[in-house]
Amino acid sequence: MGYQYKSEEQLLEDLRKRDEEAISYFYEKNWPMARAHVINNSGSEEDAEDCYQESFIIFMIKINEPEFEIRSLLSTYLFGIVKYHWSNQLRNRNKGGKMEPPPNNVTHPKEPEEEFNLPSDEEIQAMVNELDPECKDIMIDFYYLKISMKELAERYNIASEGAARKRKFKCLQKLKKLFGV
Amino acid sequence: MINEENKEEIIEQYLEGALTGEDLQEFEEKMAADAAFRREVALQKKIVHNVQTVGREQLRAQLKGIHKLMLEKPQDEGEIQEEAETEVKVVPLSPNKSITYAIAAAIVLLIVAGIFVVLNQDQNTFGDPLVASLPVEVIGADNTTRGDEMMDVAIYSPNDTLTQHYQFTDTLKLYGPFKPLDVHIIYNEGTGQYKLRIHEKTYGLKKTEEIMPLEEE
Repeated sequence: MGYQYKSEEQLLEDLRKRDEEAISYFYEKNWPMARAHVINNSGSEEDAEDCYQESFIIFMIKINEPEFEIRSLLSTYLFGIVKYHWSNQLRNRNKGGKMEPPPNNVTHPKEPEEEFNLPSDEEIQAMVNELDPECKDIMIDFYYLKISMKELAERYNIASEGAARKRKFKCLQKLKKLFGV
Repeated sequence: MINEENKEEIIEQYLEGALTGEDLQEFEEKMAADAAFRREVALQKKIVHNVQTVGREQLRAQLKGIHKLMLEKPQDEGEIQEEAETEVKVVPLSPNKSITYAIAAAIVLLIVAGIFVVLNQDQNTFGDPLVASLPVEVIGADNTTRGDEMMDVAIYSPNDTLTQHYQFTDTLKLYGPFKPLDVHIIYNEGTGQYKLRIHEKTYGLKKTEEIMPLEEE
């Protein structure tokens, strides 16, 4: 069927909801500009794809931040991220580094994990992927995409923000119980 | 007071730096006294970190899938097409060496003449313009914004007489030290007016065959 574009506001709402057709539409629409920018600035086809996807990920997180508002076209905003990201990559390359993904949007100091004998990252990720789909989506929407409780309540047809918060913590408890806590 | 019902929430508040006053003191005392609780806090932190990793990998996989499907689609008309590889057959110019050298000399003379002509052209026609297809920010009569229309823009280097000018017919020609990335076109459906925004400056555009100066609004 394909995505039917109506307005920037509608597109933003659909992207925030992670509507697959909206994401495909927006991704394909902006790829030529991103590709041209990277290739015209010392990048390869592979660099262009990596840079564009990393930038798109940053974009998907940014549009869910409470302070985000449309001041120009969403394409313009995304392209700004592409330019910024590519220029950082070039700078890193010149210093002898390689293309690294941006960090997760929550940083934390290194913990002395050995003291607690915690499960490995791979074990935890495996358990996250085995959660029921709604729990997994709620956890990702809240902790990764930083979607607000209000939005989560609407998205998952939960009666209130308070109930959405409880649902989220229940999903977290499920995960912790899998590791004996 | 930390209990089984609220501990995930309180741990989360602690990890976000949102616990204060007595609540923070109680939490820190419990951490100091209870190794199992310290482990639980560390585990919750690690779980959140890995949920973020899974989220990121999921989104990345989705984008890779979209990219793969996009490349597999037949290209639309008007998009840049890769040139088809064709077999090129090399044919000798002439079996007679004298004729070959004469033809080669004639070609060199033509090239030199061509360079002479080109160098003496007016500067504003020398060199190809930078052509880009740029999105138009359309402001609807109801003040909504759309970005699904594109406009071909040709940007010519400035010369002695055309430093910041434009010609707006079916396409937009800009004369000046502009880069496509800095050029933003806005169309107001209510007023029927086009505007150009470059580096925080806005210029009105009129459709005309004449080359007009860009005048800041």
